[in-house]
Amino acid sequence: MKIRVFREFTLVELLVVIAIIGVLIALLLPAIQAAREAARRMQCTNNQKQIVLAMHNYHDTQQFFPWGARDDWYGTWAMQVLPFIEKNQIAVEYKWDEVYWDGTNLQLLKDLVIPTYTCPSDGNNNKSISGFPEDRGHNYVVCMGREGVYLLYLDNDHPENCLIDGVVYGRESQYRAMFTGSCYPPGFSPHSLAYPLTTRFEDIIDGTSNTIAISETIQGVSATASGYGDCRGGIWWGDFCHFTTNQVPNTTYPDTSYIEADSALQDRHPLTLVNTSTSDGTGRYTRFSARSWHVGGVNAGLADGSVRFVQDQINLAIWRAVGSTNGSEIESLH
Amino acid sequence: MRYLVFTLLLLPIVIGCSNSNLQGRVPVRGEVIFDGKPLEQGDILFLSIEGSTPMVATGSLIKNGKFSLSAEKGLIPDQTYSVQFRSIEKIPSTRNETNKPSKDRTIRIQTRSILPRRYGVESKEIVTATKKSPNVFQFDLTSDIP
Repeated sequence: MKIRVFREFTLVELLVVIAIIGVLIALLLPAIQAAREAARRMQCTNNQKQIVLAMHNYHDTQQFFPWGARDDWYGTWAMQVLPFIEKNQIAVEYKWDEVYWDGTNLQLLKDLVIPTYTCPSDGNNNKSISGFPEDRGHNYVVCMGREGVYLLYLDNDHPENCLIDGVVYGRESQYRAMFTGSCYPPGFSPHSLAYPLTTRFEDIIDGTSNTIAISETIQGVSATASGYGDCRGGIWWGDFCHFTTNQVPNTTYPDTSYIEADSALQDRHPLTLVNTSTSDGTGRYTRFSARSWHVGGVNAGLADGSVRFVQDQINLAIWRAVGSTNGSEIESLH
Repeated sequence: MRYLVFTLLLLPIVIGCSNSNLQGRVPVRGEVIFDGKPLEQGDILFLSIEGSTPMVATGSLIKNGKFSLSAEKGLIPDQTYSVQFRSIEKIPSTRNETNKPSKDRTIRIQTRSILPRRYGVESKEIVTATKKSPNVFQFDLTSDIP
């Protein structure tokens, strides 16, 4: 008859095993976190694809792409795309000749969170970016070109007045963006508000695979008692629904806004005040670069419906080239 | 000996995950002086001069005259950059100068530039980053002579 003899573990052996398990967990945990972030990034890619496809469907019915923004309060691309992401009940009641923050529109947009417009990597959880309930933060913004400023109080009759730092912006620029905004002249009445220029497929002469439609921004930190706070990610608000390819993604060169920044995001995504008193005669404008919480870059949806991850260290010449629809630049993201 | 081999095998796993800096960029820091005093706040932009490949634009906020860029957001050695500066201050106003949200959502903030225009888009300041030495730059800006 055989008798099995079990030798007991020594303390050292036990400690070694525990140490090995500890090392393995330490190795695995960051890997799991990275996998989770990769999953979120993939979800973000999917959201952007849905939005561009929705814009294509919009084009099928309207024969043009959604416009960027009408003034600061009279609608953006985000409202126009709603029927094509199965939010028609909001779109049919929306009043286009009223501001988005009052009356019926306020009731529709109050505390409205659209998951398709939200990047899962943003930890701000759609909190209000201005302190008002109709300004819940979202992440996707449309490309307003390689110069990309959205002008408020632009004199539509004299576009040559739209100089900022000596550069002509808006309609007179040689580069056209896929999305544009329109503004009213000083002393306007809302009924005279013009609809912005729209883009059709045939206007994208650089090719839809070489033109950016949408990309990401970060949700601004909620307003403090002292002011609006950082309003980036306010996609219902004309001034904040866009981005430019003027600077590389996630640049540490600050964005520009006429609303003061909260300090919370300043290290990674800085924001400064615009100069409202330029001798050029224009006042307020906003300018935002593509930004995200993904590591090392942003997702960008091209006009053909493909979505690409663009690295922070992309050659700026390429990034600017894909920001315009008609530059005849030879560069492409491929 | 066996432990040494094990450690050596483990090293690349641990190190390999760090973010790669593909273009061999170098960190940059420095100081911006305006009329003899450090520029309190503002921002600085480095932009590749015409014809550089790849084209680089990077910048940062200036706080109490100081700015710094990490290697990842830094400059490519042996490339020449034009440097632009911006510094905007609020104009104190007698009526409702705050940024406070109001019911009619008007924002009456007024600002102006502290620096002369020649430090903006038309700036003539030029720097070249080097591979070895610490890239520390000092810029002396002056206001217009009336």
